[in-house]
Amino acid sequence: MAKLGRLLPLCLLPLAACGDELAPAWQIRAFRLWGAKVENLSRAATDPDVSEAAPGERVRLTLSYVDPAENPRPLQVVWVFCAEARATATSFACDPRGASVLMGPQVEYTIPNISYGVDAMYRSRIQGVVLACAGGTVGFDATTMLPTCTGEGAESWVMTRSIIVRTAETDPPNHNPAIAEVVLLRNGRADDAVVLDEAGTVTVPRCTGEGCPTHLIEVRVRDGSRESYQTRDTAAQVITQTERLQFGFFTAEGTLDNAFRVDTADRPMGPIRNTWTPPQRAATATFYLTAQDIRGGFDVVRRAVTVQ
Amino acid sequence: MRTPRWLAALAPLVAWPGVALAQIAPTRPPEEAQTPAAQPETSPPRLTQFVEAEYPPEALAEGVEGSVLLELTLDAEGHVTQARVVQPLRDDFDRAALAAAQRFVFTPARRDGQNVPAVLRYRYRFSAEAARAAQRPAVRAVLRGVVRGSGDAPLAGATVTLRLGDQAPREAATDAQGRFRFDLDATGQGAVTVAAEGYAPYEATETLRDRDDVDVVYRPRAAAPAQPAQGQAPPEPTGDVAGEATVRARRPAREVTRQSLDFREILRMPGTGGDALRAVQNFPGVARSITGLLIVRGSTPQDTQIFADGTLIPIVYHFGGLSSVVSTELLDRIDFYPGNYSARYGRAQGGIVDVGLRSPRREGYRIVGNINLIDASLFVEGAITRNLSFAVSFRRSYVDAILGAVLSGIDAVTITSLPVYYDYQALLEWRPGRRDRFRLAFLGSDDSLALTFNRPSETAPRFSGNFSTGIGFHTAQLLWDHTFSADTTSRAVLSLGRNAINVGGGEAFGLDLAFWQYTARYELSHRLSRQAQLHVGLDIIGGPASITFNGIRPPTEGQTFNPAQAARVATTSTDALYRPGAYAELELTPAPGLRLIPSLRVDYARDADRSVAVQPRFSFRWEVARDWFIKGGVGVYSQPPQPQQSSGSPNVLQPGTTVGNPFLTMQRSVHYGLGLEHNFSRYVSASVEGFYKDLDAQIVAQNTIFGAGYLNAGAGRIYGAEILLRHRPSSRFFGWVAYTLSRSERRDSPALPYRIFQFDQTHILTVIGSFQLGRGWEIGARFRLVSGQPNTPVAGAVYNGDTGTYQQIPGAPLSQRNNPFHQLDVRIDKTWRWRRGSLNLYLEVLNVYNNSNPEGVQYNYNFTQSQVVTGIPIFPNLGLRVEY
Repeated sequence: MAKLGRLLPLCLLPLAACGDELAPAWQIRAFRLWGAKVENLSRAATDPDVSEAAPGERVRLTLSYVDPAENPRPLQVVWVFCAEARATATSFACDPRGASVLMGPQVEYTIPNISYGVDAMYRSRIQGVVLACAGGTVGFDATTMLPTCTGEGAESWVMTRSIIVRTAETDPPNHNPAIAEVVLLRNGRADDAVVLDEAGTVTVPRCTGEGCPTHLIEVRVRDGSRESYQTRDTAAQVITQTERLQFGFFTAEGTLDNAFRVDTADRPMGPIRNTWTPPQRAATATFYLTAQDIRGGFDVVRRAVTVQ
Repeated sequence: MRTPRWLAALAPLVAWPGVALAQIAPTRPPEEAQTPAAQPETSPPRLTQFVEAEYPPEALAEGVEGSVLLELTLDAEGHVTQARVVQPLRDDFDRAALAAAQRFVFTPARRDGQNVPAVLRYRYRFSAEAARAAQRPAVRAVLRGVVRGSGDAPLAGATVTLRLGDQAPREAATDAQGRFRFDLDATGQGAVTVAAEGYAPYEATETLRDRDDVDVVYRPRAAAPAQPAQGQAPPEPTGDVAGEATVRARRPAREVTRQSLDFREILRMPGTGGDALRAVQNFPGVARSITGLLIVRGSTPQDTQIFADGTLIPIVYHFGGLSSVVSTELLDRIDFYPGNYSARYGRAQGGIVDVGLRSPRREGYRIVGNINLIDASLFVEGAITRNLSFAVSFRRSYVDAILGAVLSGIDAVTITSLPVYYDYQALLEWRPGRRDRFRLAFLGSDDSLALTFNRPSETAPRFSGNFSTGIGFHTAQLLWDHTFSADTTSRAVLSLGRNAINVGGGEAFGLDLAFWQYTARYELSHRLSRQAQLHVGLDIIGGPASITFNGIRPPTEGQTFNPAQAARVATTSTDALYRPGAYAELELTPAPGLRLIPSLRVDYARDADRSVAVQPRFSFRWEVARDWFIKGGVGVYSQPPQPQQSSGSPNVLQPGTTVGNPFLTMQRSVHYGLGLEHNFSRYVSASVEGFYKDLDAQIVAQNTIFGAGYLNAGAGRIYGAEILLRHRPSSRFFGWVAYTLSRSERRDSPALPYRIFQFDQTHILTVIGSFQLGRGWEIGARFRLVSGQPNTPVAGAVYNGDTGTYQQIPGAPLSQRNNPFHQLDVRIDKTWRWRRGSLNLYLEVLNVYNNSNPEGVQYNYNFTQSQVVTGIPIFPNLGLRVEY
């Protein structure tokens, strides 16, 4: 049923029949990137966790990822920033003007003082391209202006990430959403809710032939994570909107109902919950939970459950 | 004065129609004429332009007729310089004859190679009967044929009754050769009955269009020898009762290729659900489309226009081609032109589908109900007064009820509004006299769907939430046909309506488009002579289009939809469209069997940077030998941009930019076509046609954030051949084999190499056959074998840290294809007839052998896995059609 629901848009209109299931997004089987958190260092003292920056301000970017391999290979991370994205249909290349290249999973970058041609209310963007290179040598392709990863057995992953540039102080800056806590509602019961931690102190029975209880994982965000902001409607009138957060649920153990939950405008925001079915073997189920506001704000946490 | 003998022998040439030659070359010395050896090379004048004299009304009322002998003096150019009455009839006749004769034109008389003046006598005859005939309404169509009985012998004395739309029933008795004939001043669908002693009543339906000359053979079946005993059911009519109607001759279209369908073909065609417009998809030149789009000769769906009696309608099919938006019961004709069409059609560089609505019947009532698993419809027509008649049709789907029950247990989606479509047509026709026909029509259609996805998509989570789509049109149309004379007719069509499209896709996309469309079309046709007919027309479309849009600038054909990289656009604006056009077309028949049609069309589009497109066109059709025809054409076809492409409305997301490019001009295509047709027999014909289309100034989207939107930078070339082997409906069978071999290519800028067209299908084979088995049973099948659709492979994917999803990197555009499509559809009909109506039960099974036809490719969240999305599995549809 769930599969049918996901494929409904495709199936309905042409009355097409749909095929078998593909690997779900929630399932961690190999190296995965979650995102990069942008923190405005120039304002941190007075206004922490701002995810935007004005020209001349300095930001810190922290890459989040997981490598489930038993013996992870050493990872090199290269960041390339350019003042304006020159995206085309077939390339992710940056314009070399004002490009910056930085190394490491956590880097600091100063927003260049240049002219940005976009309406301040919609922000401008600094486009970043991140290369994560495992077991290889990092290089640079002069044609595409992108970093490369070469070497026998080398493997790489590419992520794009933009930094929102404030060209005018028209409204309060955006902040990163913050996941305050993650709660497990055992057997789906609110009266059996326990807060998860990274160590996996919470235990649940594994799925057996006698029974396979399902649990709810609930993500709770810090108050104020859903911020109000100003934008323009299609008639160019200034309007105020509330952020709709997007949550990601990922694990290597058991089965999740779906990878994402999204606030929607037309429904009151209820608890952010996902159904999890434990595996049939004893294991430590590690969960990666993300929150994004799609305005540059990002957060990720790791929690674990011991399956006995 | 003597008249030379040779001159007397030539008199019939000069005298036609009614000239009495009296004298020529008065300057010639008499003695020369008396010396045969010295006789000069002389030729008499020949009448080349005859002018009909106005018959004096009083004389006509009194039935007076006769002739006036005139003497005409011609100059060396053949013009009449003087006319006088030599033998009067009556003053009014004399004046009329003189007035007409003074406008005659002759080829000059010649002597020794020089044009010379001449004097001749001309007898102008006034025939009251001919004058009355000329004042009658023009014969618009002819239905004639032969009724054959046992042993195929001509059946004399049979009564053939034709009920044609609003006309009173006409009767004709067959002569000794079994022949009958109807000269008709109206067209439409005609119900024919043949009654003959010793034969079962025979019924047939004939579709008669303007200028049709339809020759048929009817073969009623001998009546059952004995009546059934009391309590027993009467014997069922056999398939032969349907009889045999063979189209032998139809006046060719003004276009190189026009494909038309007989009513029985429409109703019984397998795989179409008895839907006339869906049947169009089986013609050569039409690519297969799962979404119901019309892809004609390698053109994008937007390049093909659909008309209902000259009024442009925005869609032709409900959701995915489930059924068409106009009831089959109301159709007089469906003309499909894949290319090289008449100058009366403009603003399209692909094909044309022109649907003609028929006249409601003018006596009695007729009701047709149709119900199947997808929708139900009701059609009613009848007479209000002798000159006023109506027809009403309504159809509604109930897919919503079925799907609602199926999907109610699925928690992934909340059905806000399940797919529903409806359409309606209402006609009111008034014939105040024999020369005029007025028709007021209301046409409408609406498709809507709304869903709420409770689980976000793994590839685009922000598309969760509400998804809705709706498209509809509601149009009022006024049509006026007027017959000025036997040679001059006109048609005027005015329409006003509202077309609306709205699409909502979560937060990411919203479109609300409303177009108040008015159209005005006027065509005047005048027969200049037996060899020439002129059509001139005006064709205007316009109106305000308001749009609210928030989303990604829509890509054009062949471009990969890349939401993360395409420019976002938001606007609320109103643009006014104004697109007038004018055309003139000349039909020439300089020799029997040869038709030459030069034409010119000029279009103006205010929304296309006020550009003007001059489009000369030419086509011909030549019967080179009996039943062998060569046909061909070449012409220019221009098409304005879509409103959103040329919109100069500001894009509020990027100050200083606009939604579209207001400097776009019209796209252009040059059509070339050459073909051969042969009628093997009354039933079987074949045609082969090659075509080439050269496209330039095609609109392409600049798929970048900083692009100007759209540019006239694209080009294309399309070439191929179409073969049609067709068996028209006989008493037992109809069917055809249609094969199209084509290649369609595009390039998005002059610097790029040509690539394959998004909907290119190299091979399209359609085989259709339907057999009448007798006793009301009919079975038909359709088999299709089509090349797979091109698709663009995925070269890789990049994780987008802004959205938390992967974004594909497309490979070479449209560089691979799905596997070929093949499918067999079967239809079984059982029909019961009784005196006042009929009942038809049918079962149509799509994809009988349940082939998993590939329709697309679906990827997992990071584009490392893929699977083929297949089309509909085996799908039976049971339906019932009742006619009373």
